[in-house]
Amino acid sequence: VVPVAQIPDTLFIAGGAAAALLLLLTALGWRENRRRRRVERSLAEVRSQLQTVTATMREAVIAYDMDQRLKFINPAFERLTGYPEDELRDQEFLSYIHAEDRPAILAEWDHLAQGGALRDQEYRVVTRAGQVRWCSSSWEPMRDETGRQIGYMGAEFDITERKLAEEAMRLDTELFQAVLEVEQAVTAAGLDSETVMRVIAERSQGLTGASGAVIEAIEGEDLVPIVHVGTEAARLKLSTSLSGVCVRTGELQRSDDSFTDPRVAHNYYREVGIRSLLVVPLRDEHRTLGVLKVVSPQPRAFTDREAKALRLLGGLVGAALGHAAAFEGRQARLEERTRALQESEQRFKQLVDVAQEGIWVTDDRGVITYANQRLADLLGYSNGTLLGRPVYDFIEADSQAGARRALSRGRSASRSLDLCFQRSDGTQLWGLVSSSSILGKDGVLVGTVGMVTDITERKRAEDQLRRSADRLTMLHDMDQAILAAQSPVEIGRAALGRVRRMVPCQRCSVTLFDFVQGQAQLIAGYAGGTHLPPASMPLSDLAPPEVLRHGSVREVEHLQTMQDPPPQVRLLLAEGMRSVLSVPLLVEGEAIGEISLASSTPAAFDAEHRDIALEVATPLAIAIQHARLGEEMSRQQRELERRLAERGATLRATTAELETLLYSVSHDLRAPLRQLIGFSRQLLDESGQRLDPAGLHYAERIHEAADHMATLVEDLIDLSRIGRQDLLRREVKLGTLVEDVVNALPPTDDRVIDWEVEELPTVQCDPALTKIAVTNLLSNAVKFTRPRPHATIRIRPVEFDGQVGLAVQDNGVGFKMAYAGKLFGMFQRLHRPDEFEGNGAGLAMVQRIAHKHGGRVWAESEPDAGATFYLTLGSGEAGKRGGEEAGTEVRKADQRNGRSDAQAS
Amino acid sequence: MTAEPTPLPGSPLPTDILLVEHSPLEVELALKPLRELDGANRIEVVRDGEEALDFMFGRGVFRHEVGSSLPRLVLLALRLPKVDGLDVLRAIRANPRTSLAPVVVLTSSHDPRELAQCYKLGANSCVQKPVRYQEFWNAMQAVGRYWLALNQAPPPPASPIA
Repeated sequence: VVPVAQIPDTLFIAGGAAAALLLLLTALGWRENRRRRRVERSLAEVRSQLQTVTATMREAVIAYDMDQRLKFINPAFERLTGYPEDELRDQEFLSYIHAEDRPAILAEWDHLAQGGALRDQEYRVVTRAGQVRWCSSSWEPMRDETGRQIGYMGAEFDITERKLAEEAMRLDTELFQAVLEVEQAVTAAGLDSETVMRVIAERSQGLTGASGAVIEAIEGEDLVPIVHVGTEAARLKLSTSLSGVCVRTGELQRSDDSFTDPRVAHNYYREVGIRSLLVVPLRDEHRTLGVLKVVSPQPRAFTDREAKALRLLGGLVGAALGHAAAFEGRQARLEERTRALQESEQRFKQLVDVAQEGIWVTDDRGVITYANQRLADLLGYSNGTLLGRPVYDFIEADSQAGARRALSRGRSASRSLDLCFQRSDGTQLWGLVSSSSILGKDGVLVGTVGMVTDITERKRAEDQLRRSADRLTMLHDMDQAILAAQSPVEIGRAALGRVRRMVPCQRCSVTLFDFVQGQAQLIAGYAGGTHLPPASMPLSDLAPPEVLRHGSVREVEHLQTMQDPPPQVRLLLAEGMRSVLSVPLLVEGEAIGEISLASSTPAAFDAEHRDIALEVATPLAIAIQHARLGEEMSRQQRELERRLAERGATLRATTAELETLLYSVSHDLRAPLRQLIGFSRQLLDESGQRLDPAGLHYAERIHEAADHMATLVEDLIDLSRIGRQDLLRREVKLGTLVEDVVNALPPTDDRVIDWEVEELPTVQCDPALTKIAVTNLLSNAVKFTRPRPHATIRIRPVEFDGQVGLAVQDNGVGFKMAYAGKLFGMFQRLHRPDEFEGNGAGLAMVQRIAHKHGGRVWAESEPDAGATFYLTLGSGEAGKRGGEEAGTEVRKADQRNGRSDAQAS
Repeated sequence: MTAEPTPLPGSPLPTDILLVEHSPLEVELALKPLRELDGANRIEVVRDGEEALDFMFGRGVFRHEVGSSLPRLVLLALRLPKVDGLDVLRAIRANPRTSLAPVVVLTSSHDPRELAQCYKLGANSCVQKPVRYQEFWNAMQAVGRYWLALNQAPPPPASPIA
C-alpha cells in the first residue's frame, strides 16, 4: 500500500513547485510594472527637459510625429505664432504656415526622409492674428536608436525684419542701378528723350511691381500719354483725374482704389480695370511738365516703398523732359542729373548706414568698395580698414568655398546662405548672408551687394538644440536598454558609447561598487580606441569607500596637483590623463557604482559635460540595477528549475523503482498464496471430515482470507501494470467505447437501468486503458444504484482545462463530499463490504489512468442523491483533424503528453 | 494416441514429465493434478537448473540415464537456484540431442519481455500458474493432457529418417 500512496504525494510536491513558480512569475510581473512606471517617469523627465532646454531659446521649436500629429512647441513658438499649444494641436496640419509655402515644407520632409542633408529654408508663418512673418527654418528628422525616423523637429527663426530690410535693400539697389542705367541711357540717347522716358517707364514698372507705367505730359487742360508700358493709356482731363491733382499740388498722389476714390472723376480706370495708382509730378526748375504714373489692377498695390522709388525716378524724368522741352541748357541738365544721382546715392547710404544688417558692396573681384558701420561693428574692425580688402579675408576657411560660389555668380536671384566670419579678435561670427549681384548694362557682373545678419546666437541655439536632441536620443537609448534588459556589461558599454559621442574624453569606464566585499568591478571601459577588459580592484583604489558611498560627483581638474593620489588616479596619470569626472550611479539614493570620464586635457569638463554625465547616470543606474535584478531573478529561476528537475528526476526514478518493487512483490506473493490456498483447500477437501467443527471453521477462515488476499494482490498487479505500461494514444470515439462497455456489463435482471448517453467527443487517448477506466466508472454507477428499482445513468461530454472527456452521473446512493478525498486512494472504501462489494481498487486505477493521460478524475455527490464522476483524458481537437499532417501533430502531442505525464508521475 | 517410445534395453521406465521446480510446496501442489493424468507414469522432479541439465544430458547423478529417451514434457519454472530457467532452456535447445524436447515454461508474471524471451529461446508454450486452487488444478491437468495425450512427440534423435 505504501508505494501507491507515494503517487499522490509526488503530485503534491510537483504542485508545490508549480506554486513557487507562480509566485516567482507574479513577482516578475510586479517588477515589470514597477520598471515600466519608472521608464514612464524618465520619459516624462525627458519631456520636461526638452521644455527646459527650449524654454529660453529665441528660436521657435516645433515637433511633429510621423503621423503629422503635433508633439511639442516651445514658448518662443507660441510667441511667434500667437497659438498656444493646445489650440495649435486642434488646428489642421501646418495650418500656421502660409498656404503657398506648405508644399515646400512637405518637399523638405521628403528630402530629409530620403536621407538628404539638412538645410535652411525660408517660408511665411501666418500668426493667429493673421500677420505674415518670415521665418528661416531648419527641419531635422527625429530618429529612435534603431535609426528609424519617428518624427520631424523644426527650429524657426523670425527673419521678418531682415526680410523687410532685405526687400528695401533690394529696392534701393535696383533703384541705384536704375539711376545708373538712366544716366547711361541719357548719355547714350543724347537728345532722344523718348528713349530715356521709355527706359524710365520700364524701370518704374519693374521697381514698383506695377502692371504698367505711363508718362503723361500737360497739353492745355489735358494730360497726354507720351510713353506707356504694360497698360493702355488715354488722354485725361486735368480737372477730373488724380494726375491733375498731382500737377496742381506738385506732390505724389496715391490711390488705393480708383473705383471709390473721389479724386478720380472719370470712368476710364473702371473701363480698363485699374484700381491702384501712384502718380509723381515731373518738374523742371520752373514748372510741372507732366506726371509719371504706375498702375495696378489690384487695390492697395503700392506702399511707401514704391512711392519712394517712383519719386526718385520722377526726378530723373523731369530732367529728361526738361531737356526734351529744350529750353534749358546742357549744363543745367547735367546738374539736374548729378543732383538726382547724388540724391539717390545719399538715400542709399542713409539706408545702409542705419540698417540693422551689415552691408558691403564689392567690385567684381570681391574687393570691398563700401561697408556700412554695422558690418564693421559686427566684424570688430573700424570701418575704414575693411575697404580695399577682399571680403573673403573675413570668412572662415570652412565657409570660403560656399562664399566664393555664391558671391561670384552672374545674374541670378539674390540668395541666402550661412557663412562663418572671423572677427578681429579671432572669435567666430555666424552670418546669414544675402547677396545680390550688381550687373552692368551688358549683363556683366560689376560687383555684389551683401547683407549680413548676425545669426551667431541662432547658430549657438541650433547647436544647443542639436546637442540637446542628441542627449534626448541618448536618454531614449538608455530607456530602450532598460526595456531590452540586457546584461550590466552590455548596458554599460552602450552608455559609454553614447557618452563618448557627447563628451570629449580619452578614457571612460563604468564601475560597480560592492561595499560588502570592499571591491569595485569595472564592467565596461574604453580607452585608447579599445574596450577595457572587466577588472576587479579594491574600492579604496578609487577613493575612500565612505566618499564613494556618499554618492557625490567627483571632479578633478588637474590630476597632477592631487595630493596623495589613490592607485586609480596614479594609473590615470600614467596613461596621460590630466582631468577626471566621476558621476555616481544612484539607485534610490544609494551609490551602486560610477561612470568615470578622463581627459588628457586639464579641466576638460564643463557644466554641460557634467549635466550629460548626470543625465546618463540616472537611467544607467536604473538599467544596471534592473539588469542585475533580472540576472539574479533568472539565476534563481534557473536554480529553482534545476532543483525542480532534479527533484522530478529523483521522484521519477523512485516511482519507477517502487512500481517495479510493487510489481515483483505482488508477483512473488502469488506463489505462497497459491500454496496457502491450495493446501487449505486440500485440508478441507481431504481431511475436512476428520476435523472437529471448530477446526473446520478455522480452516475455512484461512482459505477465505487467503482467497481475499489473492484478490488484493491481483488488483495490485493490475494497478502496477498500468503504471508500467506505455501510453499509446489513438483517436478514440468515446461514444463507441461507452456503447461497447455498456453492452459488456453483466445483466441486471431484477431492475431497470436507463442509459442516457449524450453525443461524446473523439479523444486522443489509450483505448485499452480508457476502456478499463470507463468500465470501472460504469460498473460503479451500476453497483451504487443497486437500491434503485429504476436507475438512471447519464453519460455526457465534459471539457476542463482544455481537456475533454466524459461525466458519468447516476441516481445511486452517493457519498458525503467530506469523504471525496478518500475516493481515489488504493483500497479506500466508503461503504462496508456487506453494503457494496469491492476492494477500493477500481477508482485508484481510474485515477492512475487519468494521470497517465495528463488528465483528471474527480467526483461530486450528495448522500442518497447520486454521484457524478468526471474523467478527462486529453485534447479532443487534434483528433478531429485528418490527413498526414494531423498525424504528425498527434504524434507530437503524444510526446508532449508523454513528457508531462512522466513529470507528473 | 501417441505411440509409446520404445525404452532402450536395460534402461528404466522412460520419463513422461520432468518437473523443474525449486519450491517443495509448489512441487507438492503440482504433482497432485499431474499424477492423476492418464499416461503420466513416470514424473521426475529436479530442484534446480543444474540438476535439470544433468538429467537432460545424462550427467552427474543421472549418468545412468544416458541414452534414455527424452521426457515427453518438461515443465520448467523460471526462478531456479544455480542455473536460471532461461539458461536451462537455452542449453536444452543448444544441444542437438535435447533440442527438440517439448518445454512448457511455468511463468508467474505477465511480463511481456519475459514471455518474448521464453519464446525466442524456443519454449513450446508458456503457462501462468493461477493462484486459485481449482484453476491451478485445471491448468496443470490441461497442460499435462495436451502434451501427453494430444501432442505428437518429436522423434528420438537417434531414429532414422523414414
